[in-house]
Amino acid sequence: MLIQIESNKKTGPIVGIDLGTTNSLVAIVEGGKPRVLKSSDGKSLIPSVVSFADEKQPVVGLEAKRNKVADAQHTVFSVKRLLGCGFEDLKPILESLPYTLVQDPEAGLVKIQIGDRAYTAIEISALILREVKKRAEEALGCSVTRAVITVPAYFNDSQRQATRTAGRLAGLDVLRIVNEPTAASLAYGLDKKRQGLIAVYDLGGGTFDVSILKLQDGIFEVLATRGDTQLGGDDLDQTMVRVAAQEILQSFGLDIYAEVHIHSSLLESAESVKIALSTQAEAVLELKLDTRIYRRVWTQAEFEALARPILERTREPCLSALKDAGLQASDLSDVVLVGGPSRLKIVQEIARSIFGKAPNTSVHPDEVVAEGAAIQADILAGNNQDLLLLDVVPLSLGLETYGGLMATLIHRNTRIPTVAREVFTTFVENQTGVDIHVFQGERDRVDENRSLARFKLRGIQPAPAGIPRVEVTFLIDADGILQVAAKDLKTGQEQSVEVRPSHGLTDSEVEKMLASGLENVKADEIYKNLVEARNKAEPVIRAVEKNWDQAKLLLAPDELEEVRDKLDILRQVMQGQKVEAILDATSDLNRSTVRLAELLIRDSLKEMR
Amino acid sequence: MQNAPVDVATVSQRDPLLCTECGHLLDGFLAFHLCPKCHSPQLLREGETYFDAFGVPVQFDLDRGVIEKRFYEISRALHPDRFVSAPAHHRAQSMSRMSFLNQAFQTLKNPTALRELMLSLYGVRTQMGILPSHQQKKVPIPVEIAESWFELQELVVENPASSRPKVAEFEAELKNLRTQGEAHLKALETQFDRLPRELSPELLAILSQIDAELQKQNYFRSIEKDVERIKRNAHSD
Repeated sequence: MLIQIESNKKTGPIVGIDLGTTNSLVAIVEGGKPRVLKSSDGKSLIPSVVSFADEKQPVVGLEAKRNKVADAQHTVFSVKRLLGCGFEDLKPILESLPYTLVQDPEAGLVKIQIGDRAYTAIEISALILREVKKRAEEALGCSVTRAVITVPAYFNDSQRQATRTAGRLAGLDVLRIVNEPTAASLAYGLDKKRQGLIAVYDLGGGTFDVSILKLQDGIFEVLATRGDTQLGGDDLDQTMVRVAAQEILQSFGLDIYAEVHIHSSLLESAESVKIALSTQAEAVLELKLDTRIYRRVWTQAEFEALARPILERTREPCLSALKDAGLQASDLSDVVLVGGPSRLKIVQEIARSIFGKAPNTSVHPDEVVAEGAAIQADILAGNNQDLLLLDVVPLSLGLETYGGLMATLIHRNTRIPTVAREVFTTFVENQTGVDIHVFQGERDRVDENRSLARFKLRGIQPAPAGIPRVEVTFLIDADGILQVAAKDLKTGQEQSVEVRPSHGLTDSEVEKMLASGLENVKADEIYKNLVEARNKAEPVIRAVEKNWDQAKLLLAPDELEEVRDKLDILRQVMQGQKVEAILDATSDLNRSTVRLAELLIRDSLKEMR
Repeated sequence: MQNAPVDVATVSQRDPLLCTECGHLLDGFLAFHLCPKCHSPQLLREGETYFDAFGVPVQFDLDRGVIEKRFYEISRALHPDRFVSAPAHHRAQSMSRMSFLNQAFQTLKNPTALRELMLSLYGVRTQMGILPSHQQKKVPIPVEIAESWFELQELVVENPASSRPKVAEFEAELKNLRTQGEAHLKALETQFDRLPRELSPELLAILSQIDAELQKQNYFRSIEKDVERIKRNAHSD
């Protein structure tokens, strides 16, 4: 569980990354202001989609999103909903995903089956992060190795760890995991003039968070946070898909859930209709079913009727968060809406009805979290001493005690970092080990909470029952992640604690992935060099081709023959993967055309006269 | 954390304080946490209390405004976010001291937590842990209220509809007891604050009374929760 990153690379920019369910973004602070980094063609969103065309080399982002329908079996999206989850956690959403999930009994993790390989959600997320890193490097023109990554505030320990591990696999030193609504509040309150109590209502693609914050003199203090990690804009698409599925089954006798391509295509159409309905009163959902067409008009009213019960699920967390903070809705000076779905009128209406005031929709719903992450990155870099985030742990942490009950050690909404100590002893004579099982959640019974990890205290000196005293320290760090240490109070000796995460990877598994990841990095580099070599060769080939007719007039036969030879060689090696061969053939061709170039210049000068 | 009985003079009042790293003489509540000379977050000191963390006296009557102000000021300098590029031992010290400060703030702000802290500081309660401690002196529950509570439960089971006025009556009685108990605790706190901090029989007597009253209050609170549940269930039927 203790994943320490020792980095020597203490230079270079620190970027802020919003690793989203649907889209990811990266931002940086320049001159005190956050800026979202864009691709060369001006796009800021990187679709969080990974596609394994040919079941091998993955493509990420926009290109992968295009494969979502055409190559649905090999395309993974919304992977954030799987991060740090076990098979049991995902049963409710299993049917709604067109790709295949399998259970890895050993790690308690789900894996995504692509051809004959199964990937963890961590690996898929790492591929997305690697693409994000590349985007940042292209935009900034330098290497990027350090980042702040955001997560839903209501993410539990396993999900946070999974995110941090993904960052590490992508070659990033993750300096801090920041909660999304907290990050959003930073961007919202950056100008320092904003003071008071605010609520951040953050409805993303797959998760919902609400945080109550106090903003005062540059300190952003989270008072309480609640949420639902399985509720988001995706659910609105799914509900339209269900309606369509029913109608298609009735009219055409076709079960779309059994047809991967149609299912994916329908999901995409539903999303488009949802987006269209945020600005217009009606939208048409059209779907090709082999030779037939399913066509349906959706009105805003009809969509809202379907969406309302889903969005009503945000009410209870909002009220609980207010209660935890000891506040009334009327105490709030602002309610800030964040996340793509907050563009929908129905979402704004529900937020208004929960908090009894018109929500603030002034922040950019897609970009504000990445901007906030960049501001936090800037704070961590030591560039901004005026601002400070004080965050809390979203869920209570406790241990299993006698009778399967939860003994809470750290209550939810406790400021982090925080620490709790517990002294353990033995129950039978000469017992040398004690099993400890850590849970997270608010229920009285541990089996209704989430198992985080188990570990065994070993090496206890043989003694009568109840005599040994081992103090275990549970520390929740500023990332909201648990670290465990143990100390024998009799001997004063520190014990190492090997923690097996219930839904995650052990340190050695991560190390193994990192090692194989390095091979990937090397492969990436080779590919990059290959592209560069080809880019150098192409203009030379084109130039020779363009001037071929003139060359035939100007060059002696043996000179012409040599150019043709060199051109053929270069064309041939261009088909292959050998970088050196391409570079050599390019310079050979270049050399063989020196005389031609001279003649061409002389020729053109003659014409000018 | 606090093992009792302690030296009642707090760390900050004891000796001139030196930086745990460079030996610089530390002065003031901020320097107590962070050396102004070498910027080292200070190691937690032997016997350090939550009162030390804010440089306030060991007493019940605390100026919570001052504590809050100092909490923000110390956090601004001490938080792990300020030590991301610092040497590993400074990062670790910032984290452990910030955890300590967070807990101290949480405890001193909350009257019940403050009482429990004082009891453990003076050894009246052995441990602030979550597991029941066998050594703890159990205070007998007040007989009167316990009896009427049992009667009420029976009544609700037998005849939920007609039990409503009785439930309301019982709730009022509970509330009254809670208010009385709170007033008693306040009075005991005032007495405590007037005495010198040495571990005297008078001081201990007051602390034992606080302990007993706290346990009673706990009992009332748990009944209150049960009453809420009964009301909910009866209502939903």
